[in-house]
Amino acid sequence: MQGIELKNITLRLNGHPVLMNISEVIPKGSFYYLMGTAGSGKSAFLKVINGLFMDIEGSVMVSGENIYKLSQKNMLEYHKKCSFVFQNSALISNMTIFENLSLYYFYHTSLNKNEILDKINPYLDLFNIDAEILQQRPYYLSTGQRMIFNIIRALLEDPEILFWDEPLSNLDQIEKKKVKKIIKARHSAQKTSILVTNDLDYGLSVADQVGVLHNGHLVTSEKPDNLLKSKNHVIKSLMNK
Amino acid sequence: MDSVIVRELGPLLTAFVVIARSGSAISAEIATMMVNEEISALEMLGIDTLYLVVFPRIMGACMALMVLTVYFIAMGLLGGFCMGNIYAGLTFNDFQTYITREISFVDILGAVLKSAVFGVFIAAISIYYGFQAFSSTQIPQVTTKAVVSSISMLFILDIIMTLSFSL
Repeated sequence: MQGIELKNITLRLNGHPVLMNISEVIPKGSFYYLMGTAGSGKSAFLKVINGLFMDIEGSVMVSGENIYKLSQKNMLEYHKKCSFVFQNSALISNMTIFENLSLYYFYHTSLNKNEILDKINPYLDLFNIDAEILQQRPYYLSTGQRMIFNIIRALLEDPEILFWDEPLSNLDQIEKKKVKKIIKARHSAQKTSILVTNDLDYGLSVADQVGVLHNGHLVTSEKPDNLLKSKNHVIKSLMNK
Repeated sequence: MDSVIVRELGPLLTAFVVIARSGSAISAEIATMMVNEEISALEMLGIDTLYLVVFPRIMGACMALMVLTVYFIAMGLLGGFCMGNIYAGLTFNDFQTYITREISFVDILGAVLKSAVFGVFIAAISIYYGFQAFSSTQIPQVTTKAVVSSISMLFILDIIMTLSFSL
Protein backbone atom coordinates (compact mmCIF):
# COMPACT_ATOMS: atom_id res chain seq x y z
CA MET A 1 0.00 0.00 0.00
CA GLN A 2 1.38 3.41 -0.99
CA GLY A 3 0.90 6.67 0.84
CA ILE A 4 -2.30 8.60 1.40
CA GLU A 5 -3.17 11.69 -0.60
CA LEU A 6 -6.09 13.96 0.20
CA LYS A 7 -7.14 16.29 -2.60
CA ASN A 8 -9.38 19.30 -1.89
CA ILE A 9 -11.41 17.56 0.80
CA THR A 10 -14.48 19.39 2.02
CA LEU A 11 -16.86 17.78 4.48
CA ARG A 12 -20.16 19.23 5.66
CA LEU A 13 -22.34 17.67 8.33
CA ASN A 14 -25.94 18.95 8.41
CA GLY A 15 -24.79 21.86 6.25
CA HIS A 16 -22.14 22.84 8.78
CA PRO A 17 -18.58 22.85 7.34
CA VAL A 18 -16.32 20.48 9.28
CA LEU A 19 -13.36 20.24 6.91
CA MET A 20 -12.64 22.88 4.28
CA ASN A 21 -10.61 22.30 1.13
CA ILE A 22 -7.93 20.12 2.70
CA SER A 23 -5.09 18.76 0.62
CA GLU A 24 -2.36 16.70 2.22
CA VAL A 25 0.10 13.88 1.47
CA ILE A 26 1.00 11.29 4.09
CA PRO A 27 3.88 9.12 2.84
CA LYS A 28 3.83 5.36 3.35
CA GLY A 29 5.47 4.27 6.60
CA SER A 30 5.43 7.77 8.09
CA PHE A 31 4.05 8.87 11.42
CA TYR A 32 1.63 11.74 11.03
CA TYR A 33 0.48 13.72 14.02
CA LEU A 34 -2.65 15.81 13.67
CA MET A 35 -3.13 18.57 16.20
CA GLY A 36 -5.78 21.20 16.71
CA THR A 37 -8.23 22.60 19.21
CA ALA A 38 -11.40 20.71 20.20
CA GLY A 39 -13.89 20.77 17.33
CA SER A 40 -11.29 21.64 14.72
CA GLY A 41 -12.16 18.49 12.71
CA LYS A 42 -9.39 16.07 13.77
CA SER A 43 -11.59 13.01 14.20
CA ALA A 44 -13.49 13.87 11.01
CA PHE A 45 -10.13 14.05 9.20
CA LEU A 46 -9.31 10.49 10.32
CA LYS A 47 -12.75 9.20 9.36
CA VAL A 48 -12.59 10.83 5.94
CA ILE A 49 -9.40 8.87 5.18
CA ASN A 50 -11.23 5.70 6.19
CA GLY A 51 -14.22 6.29 3.98
CA LEU A 52 -16.53 6.46 6.99
CA PHE A 53 -18.37 9.48 5.61
CA MET A 54 -20.65 9.06 2.63
CA ASP A 55 -20.69 12.53 1.13
CA ILE A 56 -17.46 14.43 0.79
CA GLU A 57 -16.11 16.73 -1.86
CA GLY A 58 -12.65 15.93 -3.20
CA SER A 59 -10.84 12.62 -3.20
CA VAL A 60 -8.79 10.41 -0.89
CA MET A 61 -6.20 8.49 -2.85
CA VAL A 62 -4.71 5.37 -1.28
CA SER A 63 -2.46 3.21 -3.45
CA GLY A 64 -3.40 5.46 -6.35
CA GLU A 65 -7.11 4.70 -5.97
CA ASN A 66 -9.84 7.03 -4.79
CA ILE A 67 -11.32 5.15 -1.86
CA TYR A 68 -14.65 6.95 -2.31
CA LYS A 69 -14.96 5.31 -5.73
CA LEU A 70 -14.30 1.80 -4.41
CA SER A 71 -17.00 -0.86 -4.59
CA GLN A 72 -18.41 -2.10 -1.27
CA LYS A 73 -16.27 -5.26 -1.57
CA ASN A 74 -13.05 -3.35 -2.26
CA MET A 75 -13.83 -0.90 0.54
CA LEU A 76 -14.05 -3.84 2.96
CA GLU A 77 -10.70 -5.08 1.61
CA TYR A 78 -9.22 -1.62 2.21
CA HIS A 79 -10.62 -1.62 5.75
CA LYS A 80 -8.96 -4.97 6.42
CA LYS A 81 -5.61 -3.22 5.92
CA CYS A 82 -6.48 -0.38 8.32
CA SER A 83 -7.31 -0.20 11.99
CA PHE A 84 -8.94 2.55 13.95
CA VAL A 85 -8.57 3.27 17.65
CA PHE A 86 -11.84 5.04 18.36
CA GLN A 87 -12.03 7.91 20.82
CA ASN A 88 -15.02 6.37 22.62
CA SER A 89 -13.81 2.75 22.36
CA ALA A 90 -16.67 1.59 20.11
CA LEU A 91 -16.61 -1.98 21.40
CA ILE A 92 -19.65 -3.94 20.25
CA SER A 93 -21.88 -3.82 23.31
CA ASN A 94 -23.82 -7.04 22.75
CA MET A 95 -20.63 -9.11 22.45
CA THR A 96 -18.13 -10.20 25.09
CA ILE A 97 -14.65 -8.70 25.10
CA PHE A 98 -13.27 -11.94 23.63
CA GLU A 99 -15.82 -11.82 20.82
CA ASN A 100 -14.91 -8.19 20.19
CA LEU A 101 -11.22 -8.99 19.99
CA SER A 102 -11.69 -12.09 17.86
CA LEU A 103 -14.09 -10.53 15.33
CA TYR A 104 -11.34 -9.83 12.78
CA TYR A 105 -9.86 -13.34 13.03
CA PHE A 106 -13.28 -14.95 13.09
CA TYR A 107 -14.36 -13.30 9.84
CA HIS A 108 -11.10 -13.18 7.90
CA THR A 109 -9.00 -16.12 9.06
CA SER A 110 -9.46 -19.77 9.95
CA LEU A 111 -7.84 -19.49 13.39
CA ASN A 112 -9.55 -21.41 16.17
CA LYS A 113 -10.36 -20.08 19.65
CA ASN A 114 -7.05 -21.19 21.21
CA GLU A 115 -5.00 -19.71 18.39
CA ILE A 116 -6.86 -16.41 18.77
CA LEU A 117 -6.23 -16.52 22.53
CA ASP A 118 -2.53 -17.00 21.81
CA LYS A 119 -2.62 -13.73 19.87
CA ILE A 120 -4.52 -11.90 22.63
CA ASN A 121 -2.54 -13.19 25.65
CA PRO A 122 0.65 -11.12 25.13
CA TYR A 123 -1.45 -7.96 25.30
CA LEU A 124 -3.24 -9.16 28.44
CA ASP A 125 0.18 -9.77 30.01
CA LEU A 126 1.43 -6.37 28.90
CA PHE A 127 -1.50 -4.55 30.50
CA ASN A 128 -1.74 -6.94 33.49
CA ILE A 129 -5.31 -7.89 32.66
CA ASP A 130 -6.96 -10.99 34.09
CA ALA A 131 -8.09 -13.36 31.30
CA GLU A 132 -11.48 -13.76 33.01
CA ILE A 133 -12.37 -10.25 31.92
CA LEU A 134 -12.56 -11.52 28.33
CA GLN A 135 -15.94 -13.05 29.14
CA GLN A 136 -17.40 -9.71 30.31
CA ARG A 137 -19.48 -7.36 28.21
CA PRO A 138 -17.98 -3.91 27.54
CA TYR A 139 -20.50 -2.04 29.74
CA TYR A 140 -19.18 -3.79 32.86
CA LEU A 141 -15.73 -2.33 32.27
CA SER A 142 -14.31 1.08 33.14
CA THR A 143 -13.73 3.56 30.30
CA GLY A 144 -9.99 3.04 30.71
CA GLN A 145 -10.32 -0.73 30.33
CA ARG A 146 -12.57 -0.27 27.32
CA MET A 147 -9.95 1.98 25.72
CA ILE A 148 -7.26 -0.66 26.28
CA PHE A 149 -9.36 -3.34 24.59
CA ASN A 150 -10.15 -0.89 21.80
CA ILE A 151 -6.39 -0.49 21.28
CA ILE A 152 -5.78 -4.25 21.49
CA ARG A 153 -8.56 -4.88 18.92
CA ALA A 154 -6.87 -2.47 16.51
CA LEU A 155 -3.39 -3.91 17.06
CA LEU A 156 -4.50 -7.53 16.63
CA GLU A 157 -5.14 -6.83 12.94
CA ASP A 158 -1.49 -5.81 12.50
CA PRO A 159 -2.70 -3.18 10.04
CA GLU A 160 -0.72 -1.37 7.37
CA ILE A 161 -2.29 1.92 8.45
CA LEU A 162 -3.32 2.62 12.02
CA PHE A 163 -5.46 5.58 13.03
CA TRP A 164 -5.18 6.63 16.65
CA ASP A 165 -8.00 8.93 17.79
CA GLU A 166 -7.08 10.11 21.30
CA PRO A 167 -5.66 6.73 22.40
CA LEU A 168 -4.29 8.14 25.65
CA SER A 169 -7.59 9.49 26.97
CA ASN A 170 -9.05 7.80 30.06
CA LEU A 171 -5.83 5.88 30.73
CA ASP A 172 -3.78 6.11 33.92
CA GLN A 173 -0.09 7.08 33.83
CA ILE A 174 1.20 3.48 33.73
CA GLU A 175 -1.15 2.49 30.92
CA LYS A 176 -0.29 5.68 29.03
CA LYS A 177 3.40 4.76 29.13
CA LYS A 178 2.64 1.30 27.77
CA VAL A 179 0.47 2.64 24.96
CA LYS A 180 3.12 5.23 24.08
CA LYS A 181 5.65 2.40 23.81
CA ILE A 182 3.34 0.50 21.49
CA ILE A 183 2.86 3.58 19.31
CA LYS A 184 6.64 4.12 19.13
CA ALA A 185 7.19 0.46 18.28
CA ARG A 186 4.87 0.81 15.30
CA HIS A 187 6.79 3.89 14.25
CA SER A 188 10.04 1.94 14.41
CA ALA A 189 8.45 -0.80 12.29
CA GLN A 190 7.89 1.82 9.55
CA LYS A 191 4.13 1.29 9.49
CA THR A 192 1.91 4.24 8.65
CA SER A 193 0.26 5.79 11.68
CA ILE A 194 -1.91 8.84 12.03
CA LEU A 195 -2.26 10.11 15.56
CA VAL A 196 -4.65 12.54 17.16
CA THR A 197 -3.87 13.32 20.79
CA ASN A 198 -3.96 16.21 23.21
CA ASP A 199 -0.56 15.13 24.54
CA LEU A 200 1.33 17.69 22.46
CA ASP A 201 4.83 16.84 23.67
CA TYR A 202 4.40 13.17 22.95
CA GLY A 203 2.83 13.78 19.53
CA LEU A 204 5.65 16.09 18.50
CA SER A 205 8.32 13.73 19.83
CA VAL A 206 7.10 10.76 17.84
CA ALA A 207 5.88 12.33 14.57
CA ASP A 208 7.63 12.63 11.23
CA GLN A 209 5.13 15.20 10.06
CA VAL A 210 2.61 17.35 11.90
CA GLY A 211 -0.63 18.75 10.51
CA VAL A 212 -2.38 21.61 12.28
CA LEU A 213 -6.14 21.90 11.93
CA HIS A 214 -8.04 25.02 12.89
CA ASN A 215 -11.77 25.50 12.29
CA GLY A 216 -11.73 22.82 9.61
CA HIS A 217 -8.76 24.31 7.73
CA LEU A 218 -5.33 22.71 7.54
CA VAL A 219 -3.21 25.64 8.71
CA THR A 220 0.12 23.96 8.04
CA SER A 221 1.82 20.62 7.64
CA GLU A 222 5.48 20.49 8.59
CA LYS A 223 8.19 18.56 10.37
CA PRO A 224 7.96 18.92 14.18
CA ASP A 225 11.18 20.96 14.40
CA ASN A 226 9.93 23.53 11.90
CA LEU A 227 6.62 23.75 13.72
CA LEU A 228 8.32 24.66 16.98
CA LYS A 229 9.90 27.67 15.25
CA SER A 230 6.66 28.78 13.64
CA LYS A 231 5.43 32.34 14.10
CA ASN A 232 1.85 31.46 13.11
CA HIS A 233 -0.50 32.65 15.87
CA VAL A 234 -2.70 29.51 15.70
CA ILE A 235 0.32 27.26 16.19
CA LYS A 236 1.70 29.52 18.90
CA SER A 237 -1.57 29.46 20.82
CA LEU A 238 -1.80 25.66 20.46
CA MET A 239 1.68 25.31 21.85
CA ASN A 240 0.98 27.80 24.60
CA LYS A 241 3.95 29.90 23.55
CA MET B 1 -64.94 -15.88 12.74
CA ASP B 2 -62.33 -18.66 12.68
CA SER B 3 -61.22 -17.85 9.16
CA VAL B 4 -60.99 -14.18 10.16
CA ILE B 5 -58.61 -15.16 12.97
CA VAL B 6 -56.51 -17.21 10.58
CA ARG B 7 -56.47 -14.86 7.59
CA GLU B 8 -56.50 -11.43 9.19
CA LEU B 9 -56.31 -11.14 12.98
CA GLY B 10 -53.55 -13.70 13.46
CA PRO B 11 -50.91 -12.14 11.18
CA LEU B 12 -51.99 -8.55 11.88
CA LEU B 13 -52.19 -8.61 15.68
CA THR B 14 -49.00 -10.66 15.95
CA ALA B 15 -47.26 -8.12 13.71
CA PHE B 16 -48.45 -5.29 16.00
CA VAL B 17 -46.95 -7.08 19.01
CA VAL B 18 -43.66 -7.66 17.15
CA ILE B 19 -43.50 -4.01 16.04
CA ALA B 20 -44.05 -2.82 19.60
CA ARG B 21 -41.65 -5.27 21.19
CA SER B 22 -38.99 -6.08 18.59
CA GLY B 23 -39.24 -3.44 15.85
CA SER B 24 -38.65 -0.65 18.35
CA ALA B 25 -35.87 -2.67 20.01
CA ILE B 26 -34.11 -3.31 16.69
CA SER B 27 -34.33 0.34 15.75
CA ALA B 28 -33.07 1.56 19.13
CA GLU B 29 -30.27 -1.02 19.21
CA ILE B 30 -28.93 -0.11 15.77
CA ALA B 31 -29.33 3.60 16.47
CA THR B 32 -27.27 3.15 19.63
CA MET B 33 -24.66 1.19 17.67
CA MET B 34 -24.50 4.06 15.18
CA VAL B 35 -24.11 6.71 17.87
CA ASN B 36 -21.45 4.68 19.73
CA GLU B 37 -19.59 4.14 16.44
CA GLU B 38 -19.98 0.37 16.76
CA ILE B 39 -21.13 0.18 13.15
CA SER B 40 -18.04 2.15 12.07
CA ALA B 41 -15.90 -0.23 14.16
CA LEU B 42 -17.38 -3.22 12.33
CA GLU B 43 -16.72 -1.56 8.99
CA MET B 44 -13.14 -0.83 10.04
CA LEU B 45 -12.71 -4.54 10.79
CA GLY B 46 -13.65 -5.22 7.18
CA ILE B 47 -16.93 -6.83 8.23
CA ASP B 48 -19.95 -6.31 6.04
CA THR B 49 -22.69 -4.99 8.32
CA LEU B 50 -25.26 -6.47 5.96
CA TYR B 51 -24.18 -9.95 7.07
CA LEU B 52 -23.62 -9.22 10.74
CA VAL B 53 -26.31 -6.65 11.52
CA VAL B 54 -28.98 -6.51 8.81
CA PHE B 55 -29.66 -10.04 7.49
CA PRO B 56 -29.74 -11.86 10.86
CA ARG B 57 -32.35 -9.41 12.17
CA ILE B 58 -34.49 -9.68 9.05
CA MET B 59 -34.30 -13.48 9.14
CA GLY B 60 -35.03 -13.50 12.88
CA ALA B 61 -38.05 -11.20 12.61
CA CYS B 62 -39.40 -13.15 9.63
CA MET B 63 -39.15 -16.54 11.34
CA ALA B 64 -40.34 -15.27 14.72
CA LEU B 65 -43.39 -13.69 13.17
CA MET B 66 -44.29 -16.88 11.27
CA VAL B 67 -44.02 -19.02 14.40
CA LEU B 68 -45.82 -16.47 16.60
CA THR B 69 -48.66 -16.15 14.08
CA VAL B 70 -49.23 -19.91 14.08
CA TYR B 71 -49.09 -19.82 17.88
CA PHE B 72 -51.55 -16.89 18.00
CA ILE B 73 -53.98 -18.67 15.64
CA ALA B 74 -53.78 -21.90 17.66
CA MET B 75 -54.40 -20.03 20.91
CA GLY B 76 -57.23 -18.01 19.34
CA LEU B 77 -58.99 -21.13 18.13
CA LEU B 78 -58.40 -22.91 21.42
CA GLY B 79 -59.87 -19.91 23.23
CA GLY B 80 -62.90 -20.11 20.95
CA PHE B 81 -63.34 -23.78 21.76
CA CYS B 82 -63.08 -23.13 25.52
CA MET B 83 -65.76 -20.42 25.38
CA GLY B 84 -67.99 -22.59 23.17
CA ASN B 85 -67.53 -25.51 25.54
CA ILE B 86 -68.34 -23.50 28.65
CA TYR B 87 -71.30 -21.49 27.33
CA ALA B 88 -72.75 -23.77 24.59
CA GLY B 89 -71.50 -27.25 25.48
CA LEU B 90 -69.47 -27.54 22.28
CA THR B 91 -67.67 -30.88 22.11
CA PHE B 92 -64.13 -31.22 20.76
CA ASN B 93 -65.34 -33.45 17.90
CA ASP B 94 -67.87 -30.82 16.79
CA PHE B 95 -65.21 -28.15 17.09
CA GLN B 96 -62.78 -30.22 15.00
CA THR B 97 -65.39 -30.82 12.30
CA TYR B 98 -66.24 -27.12 12.22
CA ILE B 99 -62.59 -26.08 12.00
CA THR B 100 -61.72 -28.47 9.18
CA ARG B 101 -64.79 -27.28 7.26
CA GLU B 102 -64.16 -23.56 7.75
CA ILE B 103 -60.37 -23.33 7.54
CA SER B 104 -58.44 -24.66 4.57
CA PHE B 105 -54.73 -25.35 4.23
CA VAL B 106 -54.53 -22.37 1.85
CA ASP B 107 -55.82 -20.08 4.63
CA ILE B 108 -53.06 -21.20 6.97
CA LEU B 109 -50.43 -21.01 4.22
CA GLY B 110 -51.65 -17.50 3.36
CA ALA B 111 -51.41 -16.42 7.01
CA VAL B 112 -47.88 -17.77 7.36
CA LEU B 113 -46.82 -16.17 4.07
CA LYS B 114 -48.37 -12.87 5.14
CA SER B 115 -46.57 -12.94 8.48
CA ALA B 116 -43.27 -13.74 6.74
CA VAL B 117 -43.65 -10.67 4.54
CA PHE B 118 -44.68 -8.57 7.55
CA GLY B 119 -41.57 -9.78 9.41
CA VAL B 120 -39.24 -8.81 6.56
CA PHE B 121 -40.76 -5.33 6.28
CA ILE B 122 -40.89 -4.68 10.04
CA ALA B 123 -37.22 -5.58 10.43
CA ALA B 124 -36.12 -3.73 7.29
CA ILE B 125 -37.95 -0.53 8.26
CA SER B 126 -36.64 -0.68 11.84
CA ILE B 127 -33.08 -1.27 10.63
CA TYR B 128 -33.35 1.53 8.09
CA TYR B 129 -34.42 4.07 10.71
CA GLY B 130 -31.80 2.77 13.16
CA PHE B 131 -29.11 3.63 10.63
CA GLN B 132 -30.39 7.23 10.42
CA ALA B 133 -29.30 8.14 13.98
CA PHE B 134 -26.13 10.17 14.45
CA SER B 135 -26.60 11.54 17.96
CA SER B 136 -28.11 10.18 21.15
CA THR B 137 -31.04 12.62 20.97
CA GLN B 138 -32.06 11.04 17.66
CA ILE B 139 -32.43 7.53 19.13
CA PRO B 140 -36.00 8.00 20.46
CA GLN B 141 -36.95 9.95 17.32
CA VAL B 142 -35.85 7.23 14.90
CA THR B 143 -37.43 4.56 17.10
CA THR B 144 -40.78 6.34 16.99
CA LYS B 145 -40.47 6.84 13.24
CA ALA B 146 -39.69 3.14 12.81
CA VAL B 147 -42.78 2.10 14.77
CA VAL B 148 -45.12 4.54 12.98
CA SER B 149 -43.76 3.63 9.53
CA SER B 150 -43.95 -0.09 10.28
CA ILE B 151 -47.62 0.19 11.33
CA SER B 152 -48.49 2.25 8.24
CA MET B 153 -46.66 -0.19 5.98
CA LEU B 154 -48.39 -3.08 7.73
CA PHE B 155 -51.85 -1.79 6.76
CA ILE B 156 -50.80 -1.18 3.15
CA LEU B 157 -49.22 -4.64 2.87
CA ASP B 158 -52.23 -6.27 4.48
CA ILE B 159 -54.62 -4.67 1.99
CA ILE B 160 -52.42 -5.63 -0.97
CA MET B 161 -51.98 -9.22 0.21
CA THR B 162 -55.61 -9.74 1.18
CA LEU B 163 -56.70 -8.48 -2.25
CA SER B 164 -54.10 -10.71 -3.93
CA PHE B 165 -55.29 -13.81 -2.04
CA SER B 166 -58.95 -13.08 -2.77
CA LEU B 167 -58.37 -12.84 -6.54
